[in-house]
This record gives sequence, structure tokens and C-alpha cells, in this order.
Amino acid sequence: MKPKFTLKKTLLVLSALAIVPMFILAKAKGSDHADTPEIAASPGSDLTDVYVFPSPTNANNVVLAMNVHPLIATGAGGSASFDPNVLYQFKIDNTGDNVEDLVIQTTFQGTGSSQKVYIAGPTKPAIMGTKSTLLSPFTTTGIINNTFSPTSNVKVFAGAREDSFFFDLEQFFTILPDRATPLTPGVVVPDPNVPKAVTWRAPGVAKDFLSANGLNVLSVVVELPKSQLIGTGDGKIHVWCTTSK
Amino acid sequence: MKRILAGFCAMTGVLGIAILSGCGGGGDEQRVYRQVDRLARPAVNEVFATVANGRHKANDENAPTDDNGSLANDIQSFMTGTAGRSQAITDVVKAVLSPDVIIADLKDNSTTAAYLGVETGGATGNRFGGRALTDDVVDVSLGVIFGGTVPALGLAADDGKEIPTLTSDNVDASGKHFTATFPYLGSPR
Repeated sequence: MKPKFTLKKTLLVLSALAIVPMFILAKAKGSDHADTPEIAASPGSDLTDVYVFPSPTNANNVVLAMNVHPLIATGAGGSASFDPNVLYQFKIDNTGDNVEDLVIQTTFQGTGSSQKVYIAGPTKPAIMGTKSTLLSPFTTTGIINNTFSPTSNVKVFAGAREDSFFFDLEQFFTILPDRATPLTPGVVVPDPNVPKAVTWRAPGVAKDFLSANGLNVLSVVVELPKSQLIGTGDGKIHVWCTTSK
Repeated sequence: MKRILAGFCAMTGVLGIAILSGCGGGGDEQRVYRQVDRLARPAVNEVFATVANGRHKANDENAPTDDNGSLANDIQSFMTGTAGRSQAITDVVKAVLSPDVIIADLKDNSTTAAYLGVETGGATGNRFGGRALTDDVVDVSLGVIFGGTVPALGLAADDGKEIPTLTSDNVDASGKHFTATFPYLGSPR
């Protein structure tokens, strides 16, 4: 199949298409945000990035991080809180079949700066897949924006963080404006997978939109012993995050 | 056990019979949460699946075990259509990125993570894999989709369809403020 990139086609498209307006970019995100109109309207359920890395401070531990709720404005981190109606989960498969063997669940009570954090796991859940029930018991163990230890070898932080993703988001939305449509209600992009530009911006011109605008997210960061996730497997884990209502 | 009871109670309700204790009242029923978003590897669902036609939403609401029949089709369309790559390279990309999960080897002793390290046998830096805060996942992904990464790894023949102007967004982590101590992500701006 012929690739869709040709110079002639690109010039025609660029001349016909306005640059994505700044107000859309004021709603920019991390690696996966405002996925759909429904999620854009419910930012507390909007997952933006997932990280899995060895602990820099303890070789026995691994760190799991989940970022949600993009586009918290600069200066507004202290007043942001998680959605108390949402169940936030880390799902871990340690047998290689891509079905979760363990979950770590986080829920929140109240809103605002004294919002309570409930966390449980890693534990085998009662049901696997796209429906979930809460692990029992579910312990209250913290307040947002304050690191705490549910057990002595586990650390948890849930709260506002600088958005860790870096990307020239403006240029991405110029190349593929279909991906911006959750933020541009009523706009329909014809040929949603046909790129409208064929290049990224040059070094020095390209901008990390999120750091240029001092944008923040909410993060759940859990540091725990690797042994708690390995189970009876060979050491390899498959990790994903979900939000549920 | 609760699910079996719930199913049975629903049935007896339909029949107009309520003979078992535990039916009705609803006190035993836990809230069932339904998934609205799912995420693992960065810039996969967002790049390959269109918002139009509900493809991205479908992937948000299903499970990794659905990816080979769902997300993999989005990868197929994008790689051969939008990116114009060969079927051989597309097959490798599907095999690596679907199911959409972050893979880490907790028995590897590396002190840092390296995105796609397990999937590429250590070619991206080490065999712990996972995803580090500083990993340039955008450039790694662009190299796979628009560049020569797959042929360079010996996983498929070069198809001559690279688009060099698309293989890096020319943005790095220098604007971030990661820390050496927990929680490692920078304080809010």
C-alpha cells in the first residue's frame, strides 16, 4: 500500500488546515490523555503514564507509578485531589498469561487537601478482567501529598507531581489532529489516520509542552519488595493500570 | 461464592420465588466497578488507535487478553497504512506491543529500567525492562514505527520505507525535576 506521505499532499493539507489553536493545547497531556470525549470529561479517571523501575534507594525494591488527571495548572497542585468515585488499580501478571495475578488498589475518601488514601495489596483479586470488587480488608493509611508506609517495607505517595512525560504535543496534534478531537468537541477530522504534517519540529524549536507550561498530574507511587510481586513465577511481571467506576 | 449466589438470587427473583436466605436485601453485594480506562506502554493506544470510530475507547475498556484481536488491528492499519511499512516489520511491531503491558524482569539486577528491554533482549539498555522516568519512550516508539529499529535488531528485513524526519520529536527530559529519593517524580510546579 502506498504510504500517505507525499510532499504535494502535505503542502495542500497544510495550506488548508489552521494550526491547532492554543486553547486546545491548554488541555494537553502525557503519553495517553483525554483519550476519548468521555475520559476528557472525567479527568480523575484519565490515566496518563505508567512506570516500573528498580528502586534507586533499595536494590531489593521495585517502584510502580501511575499518573492520572493531566493538565493540573501550574500552582494548582496543592488543591487537586483524586476522584473519590474511582478505583485506581495496578494489575500485575506474574505467570505470563496477561491475566492479573495480583492487584494493588487505591481509593480515596473526601476531596481537597485532606483527602484520605486507602490502599491494599498486592493481593489476588476476587474477579479478574474489566470488572472489579474491592479487596478486603481495605485499610485507611494516609492523606494525599504525604508519603506513608502501610507496612514497614512499603512506601506510598498519592498526590500532585510535576507531569513526568515529555513530548512535543503541539506538533503531534498538528500531525494527527484526530488525536486532539476529545478536546475539540464538534470537530471531525477526515481521514483520521492520514498525517497532516510529515516532520517533527527541529531541536531548539520543538517544545516539551508539559514542562514549558509547568503542568502537573496526580500520581500514585508505590515502592515495595520485588519478592511481593514475583509469586511463583520466573521473575517477569506484566504490569498495567486501570481506572474503574 | 457471592457471584454464584447473586446469579441464583436473580434467577429466583425472576421466578417470583425467594427461598434462599441471602436473596434480596442486597446487603451482601459489593460494589462492582467497571473499567473506564487502561494504560501500560506509553503512546501505543494513543498513536495507533483512532479516536474516530471509537477504537481508542474500545481498547481503554477491554483487557490485555483482548489486545491481539483489537489493538493489534489498530497497529496493523497504522503501520501499513499511515506509516507505509512492510507486513514483516508490522508483524514484529504487533508481536512486541500487543498485548499492551509493561514487562519487567524482577530477577534482573540492573539498577535502572530500560523501556522495551525485555522485549528486545536488552537492546534498549538492559534486561530489567520496565520504564524509567527518563526513558525517551517517544523516540523509542518513533524509531520502531518510522525508523530502522526493527531491521537493526535483525527482526525483519529493511523495507526502505523509513521517514527520518519523523524518528525523533527532538524533546528530552531536561525540563523535568526528578529526585533521587522517594517518590522520585518531581514536586508540582
